[in-house]
Amino acid sequence: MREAKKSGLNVYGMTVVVQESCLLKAARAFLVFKAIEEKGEIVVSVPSAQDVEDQKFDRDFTLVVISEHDLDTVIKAAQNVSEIEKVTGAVIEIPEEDTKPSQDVKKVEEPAEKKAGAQATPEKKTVSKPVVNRTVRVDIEKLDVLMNLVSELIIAKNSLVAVTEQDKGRSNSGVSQQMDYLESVTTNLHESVMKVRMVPIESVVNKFPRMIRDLSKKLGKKMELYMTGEETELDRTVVDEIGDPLMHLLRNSADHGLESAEVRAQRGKPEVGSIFLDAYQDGNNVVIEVRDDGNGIDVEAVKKKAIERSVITSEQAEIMTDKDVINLLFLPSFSTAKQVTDVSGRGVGLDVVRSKIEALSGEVEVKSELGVGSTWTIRLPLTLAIIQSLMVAVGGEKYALSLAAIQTIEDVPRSDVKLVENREVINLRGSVLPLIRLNNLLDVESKKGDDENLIVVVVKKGDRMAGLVIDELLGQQEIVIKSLGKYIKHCKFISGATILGDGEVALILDANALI
Amino acid sequence: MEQTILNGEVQVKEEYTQYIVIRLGAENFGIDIKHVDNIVRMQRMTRVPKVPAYIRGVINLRGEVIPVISLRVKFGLEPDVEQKSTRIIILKTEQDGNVGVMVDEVKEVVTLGESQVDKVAPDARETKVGHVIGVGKYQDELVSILDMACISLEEQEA
Repeated sequence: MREAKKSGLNVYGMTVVVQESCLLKAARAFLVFKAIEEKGEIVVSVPSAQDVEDQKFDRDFTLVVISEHDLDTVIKAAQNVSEIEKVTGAVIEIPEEDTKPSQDVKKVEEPAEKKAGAQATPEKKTVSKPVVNRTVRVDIEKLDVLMNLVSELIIAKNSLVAVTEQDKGRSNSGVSQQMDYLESVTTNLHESVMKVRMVPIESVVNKFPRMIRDLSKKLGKKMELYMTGEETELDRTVVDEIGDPLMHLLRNSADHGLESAEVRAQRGKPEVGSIFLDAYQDGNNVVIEVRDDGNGIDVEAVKKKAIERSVITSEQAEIMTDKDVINLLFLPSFSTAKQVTDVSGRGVGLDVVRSKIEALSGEVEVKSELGVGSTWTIRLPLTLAIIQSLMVAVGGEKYALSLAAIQTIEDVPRSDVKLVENREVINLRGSVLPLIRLNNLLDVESKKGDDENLIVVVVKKGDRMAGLVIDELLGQQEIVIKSLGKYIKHCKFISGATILGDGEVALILDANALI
Repeated sequence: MEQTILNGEVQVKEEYTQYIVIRLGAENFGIDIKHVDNIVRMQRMTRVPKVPAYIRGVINLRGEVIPVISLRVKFGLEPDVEQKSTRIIILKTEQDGNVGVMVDEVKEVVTLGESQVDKVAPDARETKVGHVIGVGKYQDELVSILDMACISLEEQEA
């Protein structure tokens, strides 16, 4: 700056105040920067240029400018930008001792000498929150690598803990203190990395309002889409997959669900049909509901169609519950639409919806009332990568069971085991459960004696239950699911593997496949 | 083989391939180095139930779960006895991802030219069907060059 002064250039201090009503302060500030830079060079900016661009300032910002033009020209240039309330400026005298430049700004228009820095600070306490969503796009594979490294770190930490505990006799408290610290850091790191994978479903559902508008035109029905919970977060991989099924359901609601305007008028419903898309978190699940106030599912019509297509016989139809009938809709190539349109009616939709959601280990449920509307509920696990599990031991080997499938854990005396059709069952509070001896299934020797009580984990799939006989309960644990790879795919009842704290691999038993 | 014309002369440029030489029992086998990702020591393995006998289990390799197969069982030799020299070679396969193979010993890396490898005629493959695609001669030793297809899924019904 001193050199600039020597070479005949002027150094100015300027404070720019943006109008209070201005919406895009950052954009205005940017234009000011640009205008001033045409006249000279901006050396210092308070707050920094980056913060100004991110709108991290209240209404004013202060600049130090080197320019060959005189002060008025520079001020004019800045004032030419619209929505700028006031631009003040002063020539900076460079004193002998080296002080901060921004503190030497003298105001020309304000007689009272006020330090620019001091003036700027009181107002800056109310820095408005940045409105822009600041995100970085990252390849999911890089996150997986990061995740693996964190798991490795935890394993390394655990072995370190084991080593220090071995010579605990002479170890000093400093080491164990640091070890605790390391433990909390790795745990937090682990959690953060897990969270990084979560993204709001917003990115997927954002395109739906437009789709509904288009459908509304195409079908000649008036309809409105109401969405809530767009900020609900799901694992990235789930979010990527969930778009198509949701789209199918929305199209279904728009085409099959909502009635034509005349019918709606007859039924005393508002002319404009409503479709709701609600997402919310429910414990370890995320629930997405697609709801409409349309016709609902005509169970009799579905039955008729099913009989026509000889999917079921008329006797079967007699005894089927409404729920069973609605489930027929999910069969491949089943459609009740009288004609095939380009919106729907090809009988592919719901079949695909269900298989896709089941592939994401979620489930779909339908509730419907004729003439009132229907609700499609999709329940998805929060993340595919992490589940709560029960660790069990069978014949010295460790296995993980998903906690979601487990109903109860029972201590059963041997004498309570009965034989029905040569299969072992137990009578548990009135319901008869088949027993599955995991050690037989997994080809290992049980380590338990013949006279001990059996530990039975009761698992449930739909309406069916079964008891799994294990050797020992090891406790509950949050586990990261890893694929076993394509190489081992014969194993039906093993859904994956996980790496335990000590680096050991434990297999995850798929309770659903066991029943 | 590739022919290049240099200074009017025809030079025959031989293609060289590097092989990792491993020992299984008394026999030496060569694995093309381009398939090899890593070589690790024997470590704790988790048995997987209800899989073919040659799949020994899975290991944790830097956070990745990798299946390990036993070449001995696959080739009909007596099952592996874990020794100090036992290693797991992690192979990259296109269709199945990484797969580990257990070997008795990893000896060295050799570079063999095409002329040093005799291709095995298809009819001479009675004993070890599909496992060996050639026999390399290196110093005084013979190295059977393994066919990577032998670890792939196609043969899993065995």
